[in-house]
Amino acid sequence: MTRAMHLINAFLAGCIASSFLGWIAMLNPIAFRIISALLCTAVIVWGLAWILDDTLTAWLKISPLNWQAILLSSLAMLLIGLGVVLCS
Amino acid sequence: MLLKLFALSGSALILWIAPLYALDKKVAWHRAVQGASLIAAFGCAIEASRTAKNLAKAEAYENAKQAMIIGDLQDELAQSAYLSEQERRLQNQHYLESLTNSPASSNGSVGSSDVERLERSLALSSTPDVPVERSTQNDAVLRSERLERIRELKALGWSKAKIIDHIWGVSKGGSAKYKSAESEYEELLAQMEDEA
Repeated sequence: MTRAMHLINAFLAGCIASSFLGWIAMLNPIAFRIISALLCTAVIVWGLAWILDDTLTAWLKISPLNWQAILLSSLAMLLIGLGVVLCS
Repeated sequence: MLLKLFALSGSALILWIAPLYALDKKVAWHRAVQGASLIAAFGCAIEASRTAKNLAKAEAYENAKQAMIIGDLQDELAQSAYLSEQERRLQNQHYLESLTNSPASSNGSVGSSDVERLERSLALSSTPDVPVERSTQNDAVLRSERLERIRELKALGWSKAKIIDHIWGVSKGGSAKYKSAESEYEELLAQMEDEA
């Protein structure tokens, strides 16, 4: 159970961090542009991480299944965090 | 510790959601409160995650310790069973020798049937090279040792193939040896999960 709690809280921290980015983006137009650029970079890196998963898993010494779980959960964190800010 | 964990998780969730929905983004000080609460929520979530990780580590350590104690105990029991059997065999042998060498036996007062019975019992207690009971005990000890080793290696983040290679000494592939090692590994893993 404690391991599950650890993962849940890490996920929650990721969601809160992306909400914080969304909140910063709402402060003024320049911040919005910076955050948009950051998000675009993150999306590109995310896509590359999917394409280069074999190399990255060998380099990071983790199983492909774990790597895919990390990528999917990071996407979920981003979407949930930004969704919460946009819907508030 | 668990209470702290739940309190931190709950407060992280509340500090994240509540100010965003309850406060107005157009009012400057509301915005400031929202930012502060988001930072606090992030801190709470990170702290909760760290605490949960420490708790999980402590639990894994306790489990490994328990398995080690059980393994030692099984080893000790198996050893004592082996020693007592050896002792019994020696005692029988001495007794038999004393009977056959005693003056009474030469006089014929000790029946030949007594000696035969003793010889038979000695033969029964010593004939099998690897008694079934002992081999079962050794299997149990080996299994518990492997289980313990798997637990340690998994805690270190080793992959399945690497663990099988380390414990069974077979590398990944389609060989029968690897398949049998893999199935035993899966069994031990299931047992470990059941225990957890």
